[in-house]
Amino acid sequence: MSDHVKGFRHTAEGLPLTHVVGTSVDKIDGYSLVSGAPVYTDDIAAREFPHRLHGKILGSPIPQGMITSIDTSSAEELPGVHLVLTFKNTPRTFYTTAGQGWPEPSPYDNQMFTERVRFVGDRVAAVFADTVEAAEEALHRIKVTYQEEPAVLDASDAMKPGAPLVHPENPKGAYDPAHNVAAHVDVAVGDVDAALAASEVTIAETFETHYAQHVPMETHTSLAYVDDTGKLTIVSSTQVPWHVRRIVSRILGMPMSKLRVIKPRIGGGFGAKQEILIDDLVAYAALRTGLPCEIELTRKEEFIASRTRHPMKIDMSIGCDTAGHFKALKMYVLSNTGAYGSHSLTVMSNTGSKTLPLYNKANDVRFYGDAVYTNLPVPGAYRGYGATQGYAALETTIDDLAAKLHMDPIELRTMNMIQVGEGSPIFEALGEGRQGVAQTIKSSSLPELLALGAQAIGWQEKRGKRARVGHKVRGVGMSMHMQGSGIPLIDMGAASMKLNEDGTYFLAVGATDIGTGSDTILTQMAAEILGVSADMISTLSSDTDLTPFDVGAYASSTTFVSGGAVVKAAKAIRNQIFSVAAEVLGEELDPMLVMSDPKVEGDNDQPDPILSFYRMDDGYVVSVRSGRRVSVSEIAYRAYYEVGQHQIASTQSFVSPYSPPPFAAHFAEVEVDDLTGKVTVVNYVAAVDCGVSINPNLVRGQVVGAVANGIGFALTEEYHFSARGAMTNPSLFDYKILSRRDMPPVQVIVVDNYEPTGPLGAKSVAEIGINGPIPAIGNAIFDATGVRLHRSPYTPERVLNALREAQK
Amino acid sequence: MRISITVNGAQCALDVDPGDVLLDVLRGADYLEVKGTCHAGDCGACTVLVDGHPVASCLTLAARVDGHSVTTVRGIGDGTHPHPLQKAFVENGAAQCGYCIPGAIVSAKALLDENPEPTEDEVRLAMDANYCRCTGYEQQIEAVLDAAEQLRKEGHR
Amino acid sequence: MGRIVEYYRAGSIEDAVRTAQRLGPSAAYVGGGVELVLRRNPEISTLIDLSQCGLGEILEVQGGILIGSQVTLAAMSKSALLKHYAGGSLALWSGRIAQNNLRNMITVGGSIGRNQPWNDLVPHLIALGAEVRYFDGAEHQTPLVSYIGAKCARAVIESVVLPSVNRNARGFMWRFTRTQQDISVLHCSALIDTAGNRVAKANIVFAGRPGHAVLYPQLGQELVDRCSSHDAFEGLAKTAQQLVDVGADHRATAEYRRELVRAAIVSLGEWMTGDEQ
Repeated sequence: MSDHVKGFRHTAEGLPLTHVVGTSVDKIDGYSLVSGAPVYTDDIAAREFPHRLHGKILGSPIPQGMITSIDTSSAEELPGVHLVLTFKNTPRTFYTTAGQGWPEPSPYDNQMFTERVRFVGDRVAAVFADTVEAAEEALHRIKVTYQEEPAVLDASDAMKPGAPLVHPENPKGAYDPAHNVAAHVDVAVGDVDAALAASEVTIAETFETHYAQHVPMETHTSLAYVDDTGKLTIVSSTQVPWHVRRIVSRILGMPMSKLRVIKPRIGGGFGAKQEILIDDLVAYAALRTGLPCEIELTRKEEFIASRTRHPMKIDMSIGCDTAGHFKALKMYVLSNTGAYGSHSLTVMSNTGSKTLPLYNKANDVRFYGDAVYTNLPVPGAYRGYGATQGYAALETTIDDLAAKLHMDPIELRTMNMIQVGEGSPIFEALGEGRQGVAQTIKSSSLPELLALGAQAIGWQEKRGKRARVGHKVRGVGMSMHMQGSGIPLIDMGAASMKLNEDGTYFLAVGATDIGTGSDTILTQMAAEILGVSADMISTLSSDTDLTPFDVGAYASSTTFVSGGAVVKAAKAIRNQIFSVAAEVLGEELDPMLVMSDPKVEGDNDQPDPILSFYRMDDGYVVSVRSGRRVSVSEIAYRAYYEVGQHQIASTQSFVSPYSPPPFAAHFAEVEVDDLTGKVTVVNYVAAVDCGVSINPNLVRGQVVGAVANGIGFALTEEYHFSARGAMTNPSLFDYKILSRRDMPPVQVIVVDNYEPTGPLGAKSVAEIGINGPIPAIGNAIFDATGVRLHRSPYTPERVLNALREAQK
Repeated sequence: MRISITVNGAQCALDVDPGDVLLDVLRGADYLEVKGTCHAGDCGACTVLVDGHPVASCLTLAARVDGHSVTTVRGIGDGTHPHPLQKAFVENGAAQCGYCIPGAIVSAKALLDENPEPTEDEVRLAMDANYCRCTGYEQQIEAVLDAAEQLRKEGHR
Repeated sequence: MGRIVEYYRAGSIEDAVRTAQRLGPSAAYVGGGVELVLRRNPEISTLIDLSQCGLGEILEVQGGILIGSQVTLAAMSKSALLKHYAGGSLALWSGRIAQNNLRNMITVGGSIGRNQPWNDLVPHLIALGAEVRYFDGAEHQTPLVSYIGAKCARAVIESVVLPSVNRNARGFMWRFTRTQQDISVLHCSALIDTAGNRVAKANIVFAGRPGHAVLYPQLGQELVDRCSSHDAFEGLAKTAQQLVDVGADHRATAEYRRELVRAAIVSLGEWMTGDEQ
């Protein structure tokens, strides 16, 4: 199977025959989205609760200090104001806002409100009122006096002796708050310093990445109400409904049986919504007032006070022989985790664990780092999750090493890259905030990705040519990447399926579709197993009362982990259907085959033994032995109304010791203007191996979307700060994401590959694409100009300065 | 003050404050297909057509459109009777989270009404207000070109 | 926003000005409406709508082309009259600056009256030699460049007039932005009239900081009677870098904007010599 349209090439030759998987079925929510259906949190709030209360949050005007007095009386007196919340009248539970698994790897350095403010925009108070206007007016009436303290506004200063402390209260789970260290990692294999010293060729460079925001089109929005049974229900634009329930339950001291979290349609997340930012406030306000309460962050708040990408300063050293064989890799990360340590340890861990194993030929490896507190906005999870920053340093340094060795960068990477059947000690040494799990690569299309990508960009013809027209010069660059597919032995997803009498099915998944299309691809997976088209299955997702558990939409886990659960649940009910079919047809079927645990792994090599007795075929069960058929609907009627009555249903969960990496090779062609320093991406090629593409259209969308976000990160998106650490460009007017007219042509090349540990051969695809642009574009600038930039973003002014510096 | 506007062909009398913007007025009148995100004219999500021309409804005073006609994405088509643009967006996988789509589709509709055979560059220009953070735009642009072709085949505008 | 309590639809410019004079600083004119959110002024409580004052047309008039103050960028971009004026530069750029849903809102009058930071229209109109007709109880017509310097707060801008004398000259615009959908970090507009291969007349305008358009007659003078040669533009670039007033903000430093001044002149040279890149 091969699909080739303009800008998109999908190759899936030699894979097992499928009927739904591998086809671009329409997204199951597609028509509701394109007709603007009221499916997002604020739509639901507006329609269901026109008389709800609106919450507004007062942000700190100072970067660091104590609240010495806070007077809310004038605000409370304002007509329409129902509730004003401050540290004086809210629970004092310490928690982390990071929506992660349990035990939580981020420090407990948050409280709903505290006396201390830690960055400009930090929560001071919240008001709930009948109208947004009244709530805003009330905020102005809150009188706060602060005792301002010196702030630390540069990560490089945070650990210096005498630096102001951001968390003097010594939060649980922080590594060394007395030196502003929220998290620390140090993992060594062999003796890297000795290996570097013994290497014939070494290179050491530092790369700095910057503050950037996810910019989901829908800002964080959350609605809470107490339903008729007394249950507190939260409708939230979240990627992690189960973590919302767990964390809110802890903060408020409420039993989970009294809490329900519903995720409706979400207007984008990209990691920003893997965070409990306002759910606690609306929940508490709804309890206190008995009224429905909603908060919708403004775009400005989304920039200042939601979450960002961790800026990092990364020291990268590589040692190799004169032929280019890697001997030693050493990476030190200084990660700026802002005022709170959300995801500080795990993002930093990923900076090493998702990058260094790609070059597994080095025997001596060390990865270490510190995530430090500063009085700046708070980073968190963001697509790529640390790997993006790691690749900025690693792939840039390798490019310079290739130049030093006078080697082609593709050749240097090829001779050092991980191959099928190989592992890396880093997999085992370094997990997400704790020890990892050993991995052996079972599928990789990297050689094809490199070859096809190089061909598509015109590597041979263009590399090193510095084609010039007047003051504009062109160059090509590339980079190579891997990511993971869920967190091994940590991420768990579950799915329930049942059969309806007419042969259609119901699928309930905990998995959280945040726009990615996971509801659709999970439906496709179930349809594949059950031998029906996707429209024979209705799917419900992400409701803590109505669907089974799932960790949520993060860590590139949904296709692999939640997909695994769906495949198991579909197989389990398929086997139950086979069992009734055997009765109908009067044939023998070993109950052990029906009862045996459905499996995900190794489907390609060892199909389920039960399939040599029966198979599903478009609403029928076909007996392999007799060739006779019975309709699934007939089976359902029999089971529900007639003989041996029982429900055909199953709930299955999936957790895997594997996290098979998807692979990618990115290629950029740029044009650099000598006069202005402006870098224009002329052409971009993203070649990816995500296992079997369940839905090629959605794979393409994930890749181009990630690349677009990555090019914005590389060229135009950045936070500007005042001398006091306040963001000075918190709007889409001044924080420049790419518009339709800025987006260069992106050619996506997908080389499918059957991943034996994945559901129907799939791996992940959502994050990996964002890792390419910084190094691929930076390497292309280097090819065009001979100038190396060690800091992102590559803004015209920065590039021009570097060009001028090089001419001196 | 009372204004009278036509929304998606239906006559509509609304009580508004003189300072109210169209976005809030439309959502308040249950036209929830109009989405807002920045309330500053920067993102394009709230785009609607006034007399067939795309405007930022978050910056348009409701009073200013008194007597005019407003078209939202629902006025173009819905899930049961989708417009070829809507169909092309679904078939091209051009809607991920979907939040930008109501604005993007009305911008595209205004373009195709005026220019049934646009080039790719013309599509990009005619929808440049409509930020999308999910798709990287490619499938959306192809969707508009596909819909244009479909409309030409059907011979209606 | 200040609490808007009244929305007044003026029936004529006389009516609009009378009302504005009566209400003083609490009233503001509203055209396309874009400026309202960008310039939220708590003093304002009445809005005076100019949309029914008959200011929405582009017409051929004695002495040139008249563009009504309520004409939008989108309308200008589609105007056949403007497509044939000064090489069509105004029509071209009216369809490219700002973004599609604002191009139907941003008006000529609003651009001049408010001079928003994203304003690329005003410097270009100045380069084209546009004049402003305004009414403050009496009719006035004055060059746009002087109107911007000393604008009359309560006046209604009726129209701008593009003089026929420049019809066969060529308009030029160069703007440097971070993305395509952005305000200019640096803007340069020019009007060049040539006789044979010699420059007969040149207006050169820079906006060296957002919303600050300045005509530099000295730069124009330097080109007049010169052939379009590489040397001519090298010299002009040097003069411009010294002369042009540039600002600093978080978008760019003044030093960088000065580099852009040179890039703009180089681009002008390429455009005039047909070496455009």
